[in-house]
Amino acid sequence: MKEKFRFLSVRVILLLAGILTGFMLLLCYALYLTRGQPEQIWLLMAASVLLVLFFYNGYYGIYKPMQETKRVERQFASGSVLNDLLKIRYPHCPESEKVNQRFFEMLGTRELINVSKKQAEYLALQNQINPHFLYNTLEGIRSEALSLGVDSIAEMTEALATFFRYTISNVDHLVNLEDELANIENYYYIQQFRFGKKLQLNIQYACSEELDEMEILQYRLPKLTLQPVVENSIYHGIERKIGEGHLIIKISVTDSRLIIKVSDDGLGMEAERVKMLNEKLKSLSLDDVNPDIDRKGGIAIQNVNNRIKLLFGEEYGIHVYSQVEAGTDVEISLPLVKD
Amino acid sequence: MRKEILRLNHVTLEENGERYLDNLDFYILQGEIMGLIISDAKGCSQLIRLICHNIPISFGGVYYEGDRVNHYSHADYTDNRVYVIEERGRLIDSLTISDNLFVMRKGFKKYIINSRVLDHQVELLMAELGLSIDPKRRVSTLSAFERCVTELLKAILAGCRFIILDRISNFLSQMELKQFQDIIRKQAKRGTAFLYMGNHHQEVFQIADRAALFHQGIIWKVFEKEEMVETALQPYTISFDLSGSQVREPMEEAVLKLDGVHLNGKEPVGFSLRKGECLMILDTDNQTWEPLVEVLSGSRGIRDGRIYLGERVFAGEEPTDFFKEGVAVIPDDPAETFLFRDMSYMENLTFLLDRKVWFGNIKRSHLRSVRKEYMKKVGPCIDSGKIDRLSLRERYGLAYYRIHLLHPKVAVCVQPLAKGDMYLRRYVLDLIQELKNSGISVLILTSNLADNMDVSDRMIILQDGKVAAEYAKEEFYKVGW
Repeated sequence: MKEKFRFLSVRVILLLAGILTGFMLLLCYALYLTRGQPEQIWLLMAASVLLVLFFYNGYYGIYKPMQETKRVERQFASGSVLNDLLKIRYPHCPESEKVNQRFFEMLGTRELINVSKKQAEYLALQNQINPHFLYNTLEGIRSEALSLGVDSIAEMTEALATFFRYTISNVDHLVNLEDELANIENYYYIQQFRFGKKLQLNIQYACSEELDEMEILQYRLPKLTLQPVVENSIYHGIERKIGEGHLIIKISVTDSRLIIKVSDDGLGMEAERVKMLNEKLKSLSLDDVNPDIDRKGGIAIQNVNNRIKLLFGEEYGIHVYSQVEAGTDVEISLPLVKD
Repeated sequence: MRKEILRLNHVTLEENGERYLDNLDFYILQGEIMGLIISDAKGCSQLIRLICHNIPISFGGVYYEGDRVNHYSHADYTDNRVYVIEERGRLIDSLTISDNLFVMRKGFKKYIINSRVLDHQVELLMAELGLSIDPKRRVSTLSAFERCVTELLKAILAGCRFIILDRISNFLSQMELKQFQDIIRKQAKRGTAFLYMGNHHQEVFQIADRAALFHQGIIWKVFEKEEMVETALQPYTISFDLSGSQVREPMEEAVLKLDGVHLNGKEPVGFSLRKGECLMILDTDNQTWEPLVEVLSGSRGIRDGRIYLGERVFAGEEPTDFFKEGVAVIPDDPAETFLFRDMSYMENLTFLLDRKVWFGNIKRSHLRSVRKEYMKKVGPCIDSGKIDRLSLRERYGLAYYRIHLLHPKVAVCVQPLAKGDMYLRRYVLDLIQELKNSGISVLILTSNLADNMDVSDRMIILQDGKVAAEYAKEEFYKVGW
């Protein structure tokens, strides 16, 4: 009990309960005074009005907002939300609001974004390879292949160099969907050397009268949003599947969102695993923003999801639908951003 | 760019400690017909309440016409402008169509009502939909289809840009459904969004622009238009194939025969049900099955024709107690209308069993052997004191096993698969198969094809009250949705 008294909210509730009791007593006293004295009825009425006003204001003005704030704090404490703490409608006091803001500054959202972006650089970082050294070496291989007349090696090397150039350089910026899809097509080209006809990619646009393909391609999104998702679909879905695997990227635009759905008809996932993954994806999670564990299944998608939520808010992000033997759909929801 | 009418963002809804909606994430666009295939009905009513009334949620947010109307941190119980068309109906039976559409509308403040003007407006609205229903008719006299159309008009007049259609095939016949779906398509082109909820994927695929598979409060998969094929759904469904179960071949001898019986249509109806056979009668326009059920359950007689039950012949307008003659009718919602809530499981199961024993004297030994036999089939729920706490599946089991125990010559199943989700439908099919295997001839009266085909040996299609076609089991593929 003594432990509970430490909290100001408990003290406020107790104080309110005390005042309410006081008003009740006042009402009883007014009732006592008015017995047999109808001219004193105004006293009873005034006490009743005061009690009703107190109850109404106490409930809607203090109790309900307090509950709302507690609910957000509870979700934050359980790790389900992050940004909502900054959007609390009824903070306990100006100082507590400032504390929250300071806390977020200390946590360094910018730093978090940077950590998350490191998934894009993981190859270079993990192997401590200088990107320029990598490009130069690849260019060397390409020249050698051309001079020996092995065009296929030259083409593959060129595709790989293009892929690394896009992946490693300038990860800070938002890019056009056109660039992101060009990178995916390049990545698909590289993967085809390994998978051949087993892997089929199809990009579809949900165009309308007001919006054609060219306009859709101008929308912007965080760089390397799609590649980790496509990579996951190939390695966890299609690679172990017997027969052809189809990868479909469907892009739709609504009045407020850019929705990209990456579907594969690979092995799919068990319902429990999908549920756990979506549970993690529904909120911004800092636990997995660790470049060291990027390669473990599903982490890449979580990092993309974190990046989207950090940049645009918790109402955007990724949701996964999957079923064993049916395949997996990854739906990426982004705000509409144009130059 | 199409406007998002509704968006559910990671919505989790819990009531009394149970999770009904789990991380639900989907959106519906303006003018879109979004299908919702209900694989397991848990969470359906909560979803409708959430969309309509912004009830408190445990996590996530709801956006309606671009505005956030509900959030886990605060729910204000405001109503969204959404209309639900469901079996229960929201019209006032004793009022006319015009009164329901205009006078009962929110914000209608006229003191003097010119009914001629209102009727004329209703006629214009009906004409827009290609219909001609008399606006002066009382709602109580309307057919299910006419009610649905009236409700749709009411929704449009109330300015609802989003309408939920809750399992309308449960109460509309095949033809009415097609007609209503055409109206929905037209309305969707005008910008109204629909959430089309249905138990059968064929039905939903036929109308929806996109379709979500709803299972125990989660969206399992969202199908795009090009994915709406039978094979795409296979990994998500349970098998309805009954070929593995023991099947008793029907005999040629007719156990029930209707010869030139006038029911409701202009033409007389005639068919015969063979011993041990399961015959499905598909009433495409809902004209015949109701009067037929009334006749077979002993509520009314027949004007013309004869009914043969084995060697016995029945005719005349005097109602006949066919139950005495060995015909038992299982109504369309047996869990609600066929059982007695204040009686125990065993009392319900053995109800009317006294007619089968000498002098109506059911001995304890009879009850013991019934309990022993059915315990194996239904499990420990057989000892339930009251049936209130039983699940829907257990109540369906009880209703069908009561008939199984009574062992009539003919069991008439009225719309047996109309109500349940995928798992319940599969269970009902097993129960019907069990009736068949015990030698009972089964007559299925339905207005929807659905999965009834899996258990039936023969199908008769009734149109305008007369037999339009007859198919043997191997010809069922000719009849599609």
